[in-house]
Formats: sequence, C-alpha cells, structure tokens
Amino acid sequence: MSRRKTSRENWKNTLRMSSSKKVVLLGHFGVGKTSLMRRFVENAFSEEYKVTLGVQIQKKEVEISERKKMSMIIWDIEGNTTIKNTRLSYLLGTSGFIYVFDATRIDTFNDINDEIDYLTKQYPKAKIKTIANKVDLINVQGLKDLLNNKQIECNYFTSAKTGKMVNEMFEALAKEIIKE
Amino acid sequence: MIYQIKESFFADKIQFIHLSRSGIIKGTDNYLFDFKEGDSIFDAHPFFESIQYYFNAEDGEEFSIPCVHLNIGENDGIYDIKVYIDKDGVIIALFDFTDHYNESNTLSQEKNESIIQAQLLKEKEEFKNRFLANTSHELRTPLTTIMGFTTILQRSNLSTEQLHYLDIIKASGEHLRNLIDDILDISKIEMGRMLIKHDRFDLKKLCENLEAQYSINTNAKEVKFSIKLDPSIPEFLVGDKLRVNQILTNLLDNAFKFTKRGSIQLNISKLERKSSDIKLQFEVKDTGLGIERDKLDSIFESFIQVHDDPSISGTGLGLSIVRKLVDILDGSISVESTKDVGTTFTFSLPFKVSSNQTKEEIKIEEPKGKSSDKTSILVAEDIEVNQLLIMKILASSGKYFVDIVGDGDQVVERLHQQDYDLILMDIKMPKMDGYDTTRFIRNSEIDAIKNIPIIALTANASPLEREVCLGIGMNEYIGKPYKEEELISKIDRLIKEKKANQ
Repeated sequence: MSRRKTSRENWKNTLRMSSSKKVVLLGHFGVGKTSLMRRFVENAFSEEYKVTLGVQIQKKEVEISERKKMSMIIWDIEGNTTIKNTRLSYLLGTSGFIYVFDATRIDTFNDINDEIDYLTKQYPKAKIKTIANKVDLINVQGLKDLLNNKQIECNYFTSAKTGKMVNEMFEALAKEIIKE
Repeated sequence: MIYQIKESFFADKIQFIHLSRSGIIKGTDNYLFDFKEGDSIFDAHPFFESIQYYFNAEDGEEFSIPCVHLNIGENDGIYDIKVYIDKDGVIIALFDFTDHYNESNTLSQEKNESIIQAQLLKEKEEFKNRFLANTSHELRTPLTTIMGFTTILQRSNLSTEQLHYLDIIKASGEHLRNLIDDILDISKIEMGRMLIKHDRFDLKKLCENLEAQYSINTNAKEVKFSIKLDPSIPEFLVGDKLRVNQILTNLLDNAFKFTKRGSIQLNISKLERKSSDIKLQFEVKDTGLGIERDKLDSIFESFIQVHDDPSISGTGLGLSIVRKLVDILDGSISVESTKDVGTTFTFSLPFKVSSNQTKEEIKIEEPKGKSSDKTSILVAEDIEVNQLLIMKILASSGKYFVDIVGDGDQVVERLHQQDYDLILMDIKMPKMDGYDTTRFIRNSEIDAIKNIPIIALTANASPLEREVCLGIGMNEYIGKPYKEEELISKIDRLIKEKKANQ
C-alpha cells in the first residue's frame, strides 16, 4: 500500500472523530478568495489587492442547526491559473472546495469546467461550489446568460465587498459537508 | 566550531515540536513560538487542527507543507513545515522563511497586478468591439431601406429642387455606410475576426481601377493624380486583393481629403524577390496640409483626428484600420510629413507571385431559348419594409416576376408548388434561417430545386459571412445596404450562367 493511500484512509478515520472540517478556496489570482474569507470570518473588506503567497488559514464556527455547529477551517491558497499547479499538500484532506472566479474577468472562468472535472475526479468525496465573485461590478443577468452559453454551472453570485451571498454560500457548504 | 556558527545563524529560524499522536505537546525548543508542554497544538493555530489527519499515518511517514502563514501571539511569519511520524509520536519542524517569501511577494504582487490590469483592459476592449459590431450590424438594415427608396424616388416625377435634395440624402447615406463599414472593420480586426484571403489577383487591374475611381476626384480639383507601377513586378500575385485595395483606398481618400492643389502619387515598387516570394513597397504621396510633428505618433490610433477642421469629416478610424490591416498582412507602415508641404505614407507587404501569369477570360455564352422570357424570382425576407424595397427594385426593371415569402419553411413549400429561376435569401428569418433553407434546397432530390441559384442578402456583411454563405452552397452574396445596380447585375449574371448550363 502506498504512503499516500495510507494517509488518505487514516484521514477518513480522523474525519469521523473530528467536528472540524477543512475547506479550500481555489481559483485564479485576484478573484477575491482572501476577501471572501475575510468577509466571512471577520466581516471586513479592503479594496486593496494584496497577493497571497502560499496559504493563509482562518477558522470560524458555523451553525448547522440549533444544536449542531461545525468548525470550518478555511485554507485560502495562492491563486493559480490551474489546479494542477497547486501544491498537493494544500489540497489533501479537504471536505469542501470553493472555486472562485472573477465575474469581471472572463480569463478566470474560461477553463472552469475542466478545473471542476479535475477536482471531482481527484477528490470524489469533497463537496464543490463554484462562485462568481465581484458581482457588485457587473450586470448579473448578463453574466448568467454568458455562463449559460458556455454551459458553466455557477452555484453562487457573491460580492465580498458588499457581503452579498457570502455567509449564505459558506453556510450552505457547511451544511452539505455535515449532511455527508 | 562550524556547528556553533551554523547554530548561531539558524537557531532562531527553526523550531522543533514533539507531539503525541493526539496533538499534545511533549517537548519543544521554543525558538520561534512559545508553546507549553501538555497543551494541545490544535489550540495554537487552526493550521495544526486541519493537518491532524497526518498524525494517524504510519511510522516513518513524512509530509511537507510549504509557505504557510502562521500568526501566533506576537509572531507573524511565513513558514515551511515538515511533519515526521515515528514510534515516539509526531515531530513538527517549522522553518521560518518570512524574509525570503516577503522578497518574492513584491515580485508576485507586481506581476499579478499587471496581468489583472491587462485582462480587465482586454475585457473592456472586447466589450467595446462587440458593441460596435452589433450596433453596426443593426444600423445596416434601416440604411438599406433609406438608400433603396431614395434610388426609387429618384426615378419618380420630381422637380429639380427635389432631385437635388435626394442627391444630398443619397450622398449622406453613402457616407454613413462608409462610416459603418469602418466601425465594423475596426471591431472585427480587434476581435481577431478579420479573415485574410490568399487569392490570385491582377495588380495592374487593381491600379487601373484605382486610377479610374480617383480621376473623377481630380477633375473637380486642381490636383494631379498618377500611379507608377514598377514594370518588373509580375502582374498576377497571390494575396488579399480586397484588403490591399482597402488600405490604398483609405490612404488615397485621406490624401484627396487634405490636398487642395498639387499632386497625389501612388508609387508601387519591388523591394525584394526570392523565388515565388515578393515584397512590394507602396507609397502614397501628397502635397496637402501635412501633419505637425508632435501629432505624427498618434496618427494611427483609433478615433484620433489630427486636423481640427470641422469641414473635414470622418470617424478617425481610417488610418487605424490601415495600420491594423498592414499588421495582419505581415507588413509594416511609416509616415513622413511636413506641415503645409505634404505627407507620404509608405508601407510594404509580402505577396506570392502567381505561377499562372496569363489572363483568364471568363466567357459567358448568351442564353439560349427565349431571351424575352421574364425571370421568376422567389424572395425570402421577413421584414415588410425590405420586402417592399426589393419588390420595387425588381418590378421597376420590368424583367422579373417576383414572389415574396416571409420565412425559410415557406420557401421550401413554394419550391414544391412552382418553378423559380432564382432565390433571393435573407439570412435571419424567424422559423427557418437562410442557412438551413439553403442546406435543405441543396440536399433536395429534385434537380430543379437542388440546382436553383441562391443569392444571400444579409446585414451581417463581412468576408467571413460571405465565405459561410458560399460554403453552404449559395451562389452569390450581397451585403446590406446594397446598391440597386449590384443586385440586378448579380441576378442577371446568375440567370445567364444558369441558362448557359442548361
């Protein structure tokens, strides 16, 4: 049995014991991954773009129901044009992926279907959400039409700046992970 | 000694933590972070909590997680982290690379910012081009109607004054059509949708046409126009005749616009020839207004007009189109100008020399049978005002029987009820468009239907659209707005060819 396989199986055991879940923010650089995490965890936002090197991690308790809570540990990893270039050690043991793209830059979602296919195949157990961020800057219906034409499925249209749908998106993902 | 030196350099950059498999700190050197024995590492930072699954790995396994931001207490840095599993528990090694990563951070920041800016700029450009292309397309349809009915009105009983007004309307319409063409061209070039052709063409003929076209202008002005074509250039070349003509027409239009007296010359010379590759230099030289030196740099930019004279109109796109066309044809262009003396545009373009240097004359035999017979034409057009226009044009010539239908499915129905000599086919129709209707016709098992000549009439005027129409089996293509003479001449030519083949 390979080392990697052993580790993944052990991880499954740990998952059963732990109430904390790892969620990874993915996507090109400058799409607003860090801003989404900051808006969700600290309810803060900055217009200034600051590049993320490597990974930044924050944690937040998410209420699943009146009696149930989940400790979401969010890995905000550096932007990459393709997931294949992302360090494997950042992705292992992930319960949920949030693939973020920038609604104002088509280059950040042109290849999204391939990216999601790759994720689904590599991490079949993980929940995946695709997010169009920065929707405060665009006409959402126009974007929906464009995505429709390109046959791209998008789960949430968020704005880290205004906070639109940010909490809803993280909470829905948490519920989906716990349901499993 | 060497170990002491090494220790003094790296001791405060590395920390080792010994843990139980359940994450309880059993020992640490506390060089970087102040951890207490007996505490859970999972409480120190969520990072450790999220890697706890590593702790259940088998003895001897090790993991590496580079470039992790950890802010614990007052310490805030970027660390490469290694996790070793052995029989005594878990060893975590933290390597402080904060300085190193912060240095590369600046470079990444600059690189990412410039890429994001470029992408946003590209989006804006594409939006602009899409908007311009769509708008131009939408403008063509009503313009076709205006131009067409103006021509029809000119033939009715009008006073001299009314005819003069109609001339003005027609000239303005022509001008508007040229402007729309320019806008459409620039947006297509910028979107990379300009199709370049490599066809055999007659350079001498192209020059003769230009001479004929511009000699009309010289009659009204005190300007002498001449074309000098280097006789050593082979007559038949392979290239994009349409675009070469467009570049020359734009430059000559400009020259005529800004030259009140003196001369305008077009000189074409051979720069180099290697086997079938030939490079030509084109020079358009005028003795016009000239351009100030400080404005020369911006002359090829879109929407820039260097002359403020309100009597000189235009979109400011002509020279921008010229430069972009020269670029996509793999050529280069430069300009020299002196205020009040004149301007010279020089550009070079590569061509292939055609292996066939003989003139091919296309002979069309006179139609057999009764030439006095009227031609029956089926028109497929859904917009009522366009139907009326075509009807008027065709009816006024007295040579045609015309039936009009509003959709592709009706074309198919009519063809099975009656024989027609030709179809004028609109492309955009509600139920069955012109493409599908043509495909249906060309796949018919009835020869009279299958072989019927079809002319596409479309507002989506472009070389690409032309190729698509001809590619699916249409015989001719007319872009809206069209001229009456163009429509009639293309109908007549196809009918002649059809009859000659019967």
